[in-house]
Amino acid sequence: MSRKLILFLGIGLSIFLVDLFFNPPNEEKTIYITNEEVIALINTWSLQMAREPNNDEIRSIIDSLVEEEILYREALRLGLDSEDRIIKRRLAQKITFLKQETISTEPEIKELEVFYEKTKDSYLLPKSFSFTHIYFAENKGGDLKATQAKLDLKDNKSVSNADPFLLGKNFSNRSLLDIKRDFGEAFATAFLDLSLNNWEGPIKSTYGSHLVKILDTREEYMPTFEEVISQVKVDFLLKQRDKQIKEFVDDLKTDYQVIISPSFTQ
Amino acid sequence: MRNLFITVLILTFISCTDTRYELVDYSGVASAVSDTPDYNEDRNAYFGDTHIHTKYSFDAYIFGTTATPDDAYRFAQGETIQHPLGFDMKINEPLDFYAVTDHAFFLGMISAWSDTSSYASTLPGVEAFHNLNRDGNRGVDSIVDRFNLFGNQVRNILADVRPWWDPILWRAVLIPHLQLGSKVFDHDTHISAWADIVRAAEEANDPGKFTTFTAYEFTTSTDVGNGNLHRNVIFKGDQIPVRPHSRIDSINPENLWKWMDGLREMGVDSIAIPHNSNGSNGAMFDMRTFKGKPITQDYAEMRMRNEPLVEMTQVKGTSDTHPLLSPNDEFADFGIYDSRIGSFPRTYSFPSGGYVRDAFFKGMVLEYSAQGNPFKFGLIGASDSHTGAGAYSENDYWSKIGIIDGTPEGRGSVPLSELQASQLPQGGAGVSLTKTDQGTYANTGFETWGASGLAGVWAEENTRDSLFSAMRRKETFATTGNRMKVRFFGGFETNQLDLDDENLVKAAYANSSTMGGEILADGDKVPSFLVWAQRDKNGAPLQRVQIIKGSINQFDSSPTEVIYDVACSNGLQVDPLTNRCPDNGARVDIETCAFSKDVGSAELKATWTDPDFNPNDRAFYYVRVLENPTCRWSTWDAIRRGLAPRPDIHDTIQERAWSSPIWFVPTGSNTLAPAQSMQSDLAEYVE
Repeated sequence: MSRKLILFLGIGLSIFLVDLFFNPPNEEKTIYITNEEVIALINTWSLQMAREPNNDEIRSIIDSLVEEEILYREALRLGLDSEDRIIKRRLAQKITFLKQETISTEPEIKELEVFYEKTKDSYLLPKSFSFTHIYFAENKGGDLKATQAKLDLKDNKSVSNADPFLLGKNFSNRSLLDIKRDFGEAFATAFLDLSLNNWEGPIKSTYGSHLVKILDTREEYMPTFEEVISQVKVDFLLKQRDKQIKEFVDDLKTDYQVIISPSFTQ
Repeated sequence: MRNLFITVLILTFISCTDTRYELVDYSGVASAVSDTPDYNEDRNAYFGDTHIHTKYSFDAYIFGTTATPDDAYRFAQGETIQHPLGFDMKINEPLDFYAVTDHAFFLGMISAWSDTSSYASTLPGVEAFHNLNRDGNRGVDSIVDRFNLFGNQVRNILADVRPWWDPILWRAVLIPHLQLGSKVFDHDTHISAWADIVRAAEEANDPGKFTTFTAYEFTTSTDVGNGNLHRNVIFKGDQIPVRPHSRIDSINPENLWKWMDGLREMGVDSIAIPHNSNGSNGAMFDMRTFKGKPITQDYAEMRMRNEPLVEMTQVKGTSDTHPLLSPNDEFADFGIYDSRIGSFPRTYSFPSGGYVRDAFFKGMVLEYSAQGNPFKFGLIGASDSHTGAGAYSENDYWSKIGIIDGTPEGRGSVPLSELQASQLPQGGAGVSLTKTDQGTYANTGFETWGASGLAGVWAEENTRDSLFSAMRRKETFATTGNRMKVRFFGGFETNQLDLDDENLVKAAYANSSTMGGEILADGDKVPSFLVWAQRDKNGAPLQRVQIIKGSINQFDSSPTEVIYDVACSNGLQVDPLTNRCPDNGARVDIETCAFSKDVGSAELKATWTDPDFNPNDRAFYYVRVLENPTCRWSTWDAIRRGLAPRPDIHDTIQERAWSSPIWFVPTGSNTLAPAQSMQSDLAEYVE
């Protein structure tokens, strides 16, 4: 019985000693002011005041550092940090900045290629048309003149009564959206059914009637990776920045059990 | 002690540089220019807005805007963004170019004060701004508080200067960077907001498709009387100074031009575009300098080198002319807002010196007395929207300030509820009310604002270089938000052009000057002009095209203004006695806003020879294109509420476009004129 008691006390004593050795008492109440901290503060001070502080001033810098540290620890001890939104937000901001900085600035070509494959659609060049047109102004009987002109063209006669168009005669590589902007919706829609290298029409625009000859079409075109690499890189870096932060948060989320007040979960 | 003080001053001085002249190279941010498919040597018309505010502007943020420069550029390209009141804003057709122009003055500070996790929010005295635009505080009921912040708090805390013994104040004076002297200014916050604006512009710039410019607003005014002298500074390229020159650096616009000249010597070109001359109480186009001295040849040259354009129409009014200045112009009563900008309570702005037509005359009179012509500028329009998104359509209008004019009640187009009417502070600095049978309307001034405007630019392609060069040579036109296109040429053989020639434009460029240019006298030859306008497919048909001519008499410099209709819709003929087109019969139904679709023209085209020409008189000529009448935004607002339009404001408008002028220069009169001597200067800037 007494041996057990001695053993118990012995083990207790050694735990106590080990604890004492590794966690000296009053650790919580000790403030170490390191060289680095003081030098950093002196530098900030000189930046603001445009000169080196004298000894008195250094002393007061250290004093206020000590005071700040004491108040900070007391506040922590009282748990004042726990429900403070400014502190929470500041810390959250700090960790996202930290994350942003660790993101490598030069992506590997491989990575860019993978990114390009995934987001290809945003680099797609829409189908475009190169065309010329003969314009007949609405207010000068354009409709009739255009119909007549088309017959003349069929008979290999030249057209002499056409009007000039404000934006010119020849248009190259215009997408349907571009065409819609310059001529109106109905005109652009009609383009889908036109054949290549024939005078087609008359097609009505907001401004009058047109005979249109499509000289060339470029099918919807997916630029190769090499053609858009610089654009891909800019997009990649932007995406990457957001993604890594999101991943980081998501990763941590798995360690947490989130319970939201039931009144907000519907 | 004295020695120490001097040492501090010297150290302060040498350890700092003026960051307005320190450049940052952003060329790596966006991809380089490649060939653009729409290159056209006869030039295309591109539409854009060079005047947009985002959350970085102090007033935009106070009135609820949280849209970023990225949001603004997304809106311009056709994406939907949100108004501060929560509704969607979407443009009817994407724009070709766009420039975010936040106020340089305290740029980025208010949004930072509001963000309680920022350092700036801990500055003394900014507590009233904490979490200003939080959810739950974005309703119309926050308006009174916001007005208070805007009107009083901002002024008070900005005036809170550091004490004289504070070394930062000395630094502020010596660098100089006067904003540092304010207790509530934080340099890092300021320059990172500016860097974010530049970054957003660089990232959104997409040569051939969509052009952006790094830009900001220099928001200055006269030192007494609140004469508005605001201008937007547009940078040509991607070399951008660390911080913009603001009104805190100097309220005198001449110092802005000096700074721009200095940057230009470092290879950084920019132009400044004044706006809201209508609210300047005559200060914008004053015949004296800011300091009240006579204008000199050097002043005129410096001004024209830096300010080739003026924004003559925007939401806060149109500055073509005023009915008091142009009593014989029956179309002059359009977009008139004759209050001084930012005056509180509202104060009348005297028209003379505030409108571009008047300024064209004044410039020629100054030239007549050998002082140079500081007002030989071209014209553009812009919106000045403070929500990141311009409201250009009458039937989809959100005005420009955010929460306070985002509702029809707030902008005075429908009556206030009884509660609202009772809550509005009246008299003094408040708002007056107009009582009608339909109810009580607020008179905030917003009721006279308009869904305007856009800049039209004739350029070879949609790139920064091409658009900027076009703005420099003033080959621009202004519209009230619609996208009618107008070409304008003038010369001694312009009337020889064959209007039916398929290569008309090429021929016109070959034998005539175009808008923004000059016709130099050649004996007694009489100038003639080609005008060619095309309607906006989303707007109403065209009603008429006019040439506005102003000339000054060779003997006494007295002005003469004549307006000639030069082309009428539906083949109608101009009456030679009145110079006017007959009524084409187009009407608007005020109950539905439907307008006559079969009357009016899709395009109007004519040559015109000046019938009252004197080769010894200086003259300017510019085009005004008028659409058929359509409903004004206020009528749309009323109809949507099932109400009749407010009786004391216009219920219809005629959307319009104006070209930059072509100037006629008599023999021997202009040997020292700024426009000519500037051309040699310009040649150097353009490499």
